[in-house]
Amino acid sequence: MRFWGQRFSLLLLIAVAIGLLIFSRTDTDTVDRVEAVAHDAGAPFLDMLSRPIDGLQSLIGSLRSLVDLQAENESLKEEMQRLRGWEAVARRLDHENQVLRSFLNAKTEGLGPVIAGRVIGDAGGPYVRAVLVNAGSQQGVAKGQAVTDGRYVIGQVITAGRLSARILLITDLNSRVPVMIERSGDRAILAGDNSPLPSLKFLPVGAELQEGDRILTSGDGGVFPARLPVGEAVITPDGLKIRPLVDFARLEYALILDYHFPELREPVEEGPALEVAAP
Amino acid sequence: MRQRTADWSIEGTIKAVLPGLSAFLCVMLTAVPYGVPQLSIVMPWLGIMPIYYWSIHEPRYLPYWLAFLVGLWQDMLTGGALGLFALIFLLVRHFVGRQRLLFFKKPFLVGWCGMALVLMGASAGGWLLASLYEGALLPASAFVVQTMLSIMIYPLIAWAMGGLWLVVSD
Repeated sequence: MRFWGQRFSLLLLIAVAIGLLIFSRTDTDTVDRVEAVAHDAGAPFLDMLSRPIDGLQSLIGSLRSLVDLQAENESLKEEMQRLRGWEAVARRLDHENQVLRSFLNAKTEGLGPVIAGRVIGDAGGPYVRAVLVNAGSQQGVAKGQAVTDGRYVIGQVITAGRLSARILLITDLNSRVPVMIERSGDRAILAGDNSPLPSLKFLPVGAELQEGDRILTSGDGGVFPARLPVGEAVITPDGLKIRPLVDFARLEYALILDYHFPELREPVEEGPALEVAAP
Repeated sequence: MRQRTADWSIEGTIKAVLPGLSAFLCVMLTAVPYGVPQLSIVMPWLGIMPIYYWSIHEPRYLPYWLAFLVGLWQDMLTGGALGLFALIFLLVRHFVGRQRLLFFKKPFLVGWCGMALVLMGASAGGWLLASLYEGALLPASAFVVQTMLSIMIYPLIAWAMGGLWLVVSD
């Protein structure tokens, strides 16, 4: 009797597992919601387990910094001088940009506050390229938002729980990011394939990708703000691929961008024509 | 035939939950970011090791439903195909449990070889199922490296499980 009971429970559970596999393929929204709840439940434990490792990494980093303190100090001074020059340029360009936008009645990009989340989980293995962060809908995180490490694109939010969110990395098989080649402005789609080096798809006819080309977000589709650095072209035995600029191994924090696609321009109302001063 | 009755004392309860807890902990340890380049891609498959170990040593404390739940938990943390690890862990629990006497109280090397075979079969099955699910072949090299790393790290997990078994066994 016990044998048959066990055999029945085994067959039932196998059927449930196969049913779940089919269901998760067909109803991704429900699965996302269930996974978000599970991530919320696991987030405190993952947070607790990841803290000692973070502490150890910080300690190793601090010890390295102590060894290289003088050299680092010199290089930081040089970099500061260089950045001061760039700050002046950036301020001038920002001012100029604002003035020109006001002339054109252009809508500014709707970049809201940035939400920071600590990376607490990295469980995808060879199956999925994704990380879990300890920021969720309570902090304003929502599905589809773009994520950076502060400088470079990491990916986008795929599920958002109350306290945690899962970020699909740009290297994942299911990741598609609209990008452009900085040098030529040619548009394409950056497609992950679970390998460390994603590739460019749908490049226009005649467009040429060269080694070292920087790849930026194009802003098409309205998920990612335009001109965020993503990667650079490298030569591999399989042809030119894109090496992400972000160092996924040292990813401690993820910055989630509360970005809204700029609304379409409203029709220009009848009014006084813009007067342009003659030189 | 003498029936084994459930032991509801504190000690009995601890013994009963330790195998399951160790399996959940191993799954969680797989998910922690270690900050080592590329490690997350080929992170050793720690979750399958307690399933294998307890299927041999204390199958009564790892019923099918528990192996299923541990797999489901790994599915949710991974964020891939829901039910994939649940199915794999369930099959590992079943087949290893049926052949447990081949490995029970045998030299460690025998158990290690058994784990290696299970890992190779489970990885190949996981790769095939995940590729079917995604509709594209996943890079097999990551699975091969993950399997090799998992085989190498098994003695450490087996040693930790061995310590727990001293507590769990009567």
